Amino acid sequence: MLELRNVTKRYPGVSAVRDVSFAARAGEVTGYLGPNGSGKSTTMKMITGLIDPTEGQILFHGEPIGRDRIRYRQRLGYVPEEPQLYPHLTGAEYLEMVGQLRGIDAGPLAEKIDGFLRLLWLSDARYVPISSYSKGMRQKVLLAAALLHNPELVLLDEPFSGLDVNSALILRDLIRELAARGKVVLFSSHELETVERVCSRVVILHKGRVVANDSIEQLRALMSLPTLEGIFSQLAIEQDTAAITQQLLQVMEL
Amino acid sequence: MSSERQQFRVLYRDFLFRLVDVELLSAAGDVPKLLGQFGAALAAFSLTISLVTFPALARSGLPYGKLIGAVRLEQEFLIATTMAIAGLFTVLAWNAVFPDRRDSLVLGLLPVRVRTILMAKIAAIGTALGVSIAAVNIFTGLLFPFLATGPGLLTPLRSLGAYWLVMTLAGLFVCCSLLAIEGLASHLLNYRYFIRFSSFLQLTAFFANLAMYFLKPSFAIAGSSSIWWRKLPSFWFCGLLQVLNGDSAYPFGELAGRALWGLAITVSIAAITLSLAYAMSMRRMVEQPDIPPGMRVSGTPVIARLLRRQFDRAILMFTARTLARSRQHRLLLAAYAGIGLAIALAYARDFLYGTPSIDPLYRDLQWNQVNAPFLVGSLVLLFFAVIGARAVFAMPIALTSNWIFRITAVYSPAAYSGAVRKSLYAVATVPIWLFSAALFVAIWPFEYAGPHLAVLLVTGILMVELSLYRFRKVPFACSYLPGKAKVHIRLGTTGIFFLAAANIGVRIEYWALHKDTRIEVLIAILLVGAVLAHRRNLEFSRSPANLLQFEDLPLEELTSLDLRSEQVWSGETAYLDTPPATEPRPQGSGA
Repeated sequence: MLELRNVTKRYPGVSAVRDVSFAARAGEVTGYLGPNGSGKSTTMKMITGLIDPTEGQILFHGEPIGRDRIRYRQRLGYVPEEPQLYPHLTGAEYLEMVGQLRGIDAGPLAEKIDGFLRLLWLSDARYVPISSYSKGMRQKVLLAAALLHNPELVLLDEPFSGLDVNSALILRDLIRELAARGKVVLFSSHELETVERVCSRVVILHKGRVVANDSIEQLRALMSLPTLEGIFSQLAIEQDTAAITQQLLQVMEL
Repeated sequence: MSSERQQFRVLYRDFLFRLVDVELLSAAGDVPKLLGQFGAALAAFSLTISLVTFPALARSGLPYGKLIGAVRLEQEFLIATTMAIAGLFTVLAWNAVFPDRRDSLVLGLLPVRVRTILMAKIAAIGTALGVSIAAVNIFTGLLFPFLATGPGLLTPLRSLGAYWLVMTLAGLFVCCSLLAIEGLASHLLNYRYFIRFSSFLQLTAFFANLAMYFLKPSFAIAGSSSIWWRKLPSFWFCGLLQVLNGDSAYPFGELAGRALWGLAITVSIAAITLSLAYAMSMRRMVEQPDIPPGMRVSGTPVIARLLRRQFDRAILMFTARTLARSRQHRLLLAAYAGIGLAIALAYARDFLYGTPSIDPLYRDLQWNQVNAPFLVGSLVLLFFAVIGARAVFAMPIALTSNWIFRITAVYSPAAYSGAVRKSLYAVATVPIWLFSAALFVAIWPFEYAGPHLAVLLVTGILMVELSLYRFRKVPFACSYLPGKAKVHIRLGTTGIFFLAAANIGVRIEYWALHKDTRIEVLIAILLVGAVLAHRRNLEFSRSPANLLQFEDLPLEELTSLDLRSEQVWSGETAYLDTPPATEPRPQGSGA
């Protein structure tokens, strides 16, 4: 189980995340939602250990993640929000490097890379530099790199970004299957329809604070709203979207 | 102001600041400041020449005939220097002159005429080239035209005009020659293959420019051989200067003719290819990818045999691939290698022209016998390859992508340090040593070649260990502060000290090579130094407090707080390659 206890991240003059607490259990897909700038990616980065919380604790299987970072890193797979890869490497070279850095033996590593590239339709592009890849292809490389070492904790920050329909359907099933195999899956996305289909629980963040943390069914019942979109609008959207649309058109026609 | 003129101004300013790849000097550096520093360095050169040479000539008291000969020597040197600077500028601006996919994709969507883009690009190139030429002649150009001028009030003014005109034309000739070559390649090759071949051409142009400057004979040496008169462009333009100053005697008239013909041909080809590139290629290149279809070129099986650990292979292959594919890193490494090559060639000049030297070590040289220029040359190449690679390692390739190294860091910093060391050997020391081995075994008796190669090997190890002292980074994966451009200046200064040390070292080696026991002692001393440096690096990398570094910080901000919280470091950390340390060892303790 991944557990965040009163986690706060402050930057000079601004609190990105305030007193966030929730748990993501093995066997479940936990959705992590919030508008732009609500602190989702900051939380994800704190969970990966890329940045440290200002206050609070992050625990994995009851142990602070900083106690044995090396072991934690071996159990963690992460797909970041932006597809930041080394553009001069090919997809296969990138995966080979990640596998070698993680200490995976050469034989199994080659098999895994072949398998991922084949199943994600990247075989034809395996010797092409990532600089030539589309956003969806980069996303697939990130996904393969995150799963290469069969992690116990999978963090997915906007993993559907740029994926075609076919790949998105596969990823949706894959996320459910990962949870079914006992992995802890934390999944952040703006695609509420997908979140509704994939996640068993959701945590909704607004201005750095948790405003909802429950199963989707429970939230529907509590708020008497039929869809996650309705719940999200009620909890995390303050502005009148229709009015802003009209204002944008007025600015355009100035 | 018309729309087209406004577009021209906007594009001109943008092209001017994009012309020279300032990322080479410093990531996200301050463009005007860096260009100002570059200009100041050129002006400093001009001032030094003016302070040293001009008073000596002005107060020499030589008769007019001899003085004019001495002045011509200096004029030819200044023309050659101007041409070398113009060549260097063109090499640095190589990728910014012809339209690229970015120009096509961004400007192709906007209502801007191709003619406006082309004119703005030409104006930007002309401005930058003009500033480079003006900077390198700023003091000499105001003094030298007045040396040994003829009688009359207007003669000094004519001399001044002739000087600046010839310098401008000489710079334009080199710039247009290189652009003509690049332009022809861009039209003869498919765009996606051109961008690969272009990098090779750029490096060739860089080394050719340096070799030409350092290897060409001086005006005085060439005086006895008419071959050089006709072949060297700096001599042509020196001839043109004499003609413009009123001396059309043989061979100046012929040389001036060659200069004007050469200029006309290169300017025409450059203008035609550049115009065609903008008129025809912009739309075509949008349809083609920047990178050719992939083909498997891999040294992995060889690397796998040489390096058993997967982890070492990861760092080495990342290093090799970055150097092979990143234009920025490759050019910077080439700059260091070019300086080393230029110095080595300067030593080798003695073999070409048989320049008499008062130093017995550099007198009566024979290339097929052990000699000082080749001993120094190989050491200099090795040194610049090592410090060049080390400097390039510190420059990031894609800062935002470094997260993967942080997340996958399951090996100890000592393992990273070892892998980086192996990578530095592989990309710097081994190639130079193998090249030297092939050369010296082929041309020298083995009794000299063998010991020198042993000296070179141990010196290479020593240089690698010294250069990696306190280096805690993964190559190309640490941020780089803009102020770090000064590092290259510091390394350059180190290079000057090294040259002095190398000269002394070569005397010792030359002396030692003639007796077995002497050379054995020399190798043993160097070996002890290498072992001590290696041990010092091992101690540093094994200290638990010395974690991998991904963020560059100014030294004054680095304060050891000796923190032991879980967020900083833990003495109990168990890396994949090391058991957990029970007691954290203080930095600098025994290995």
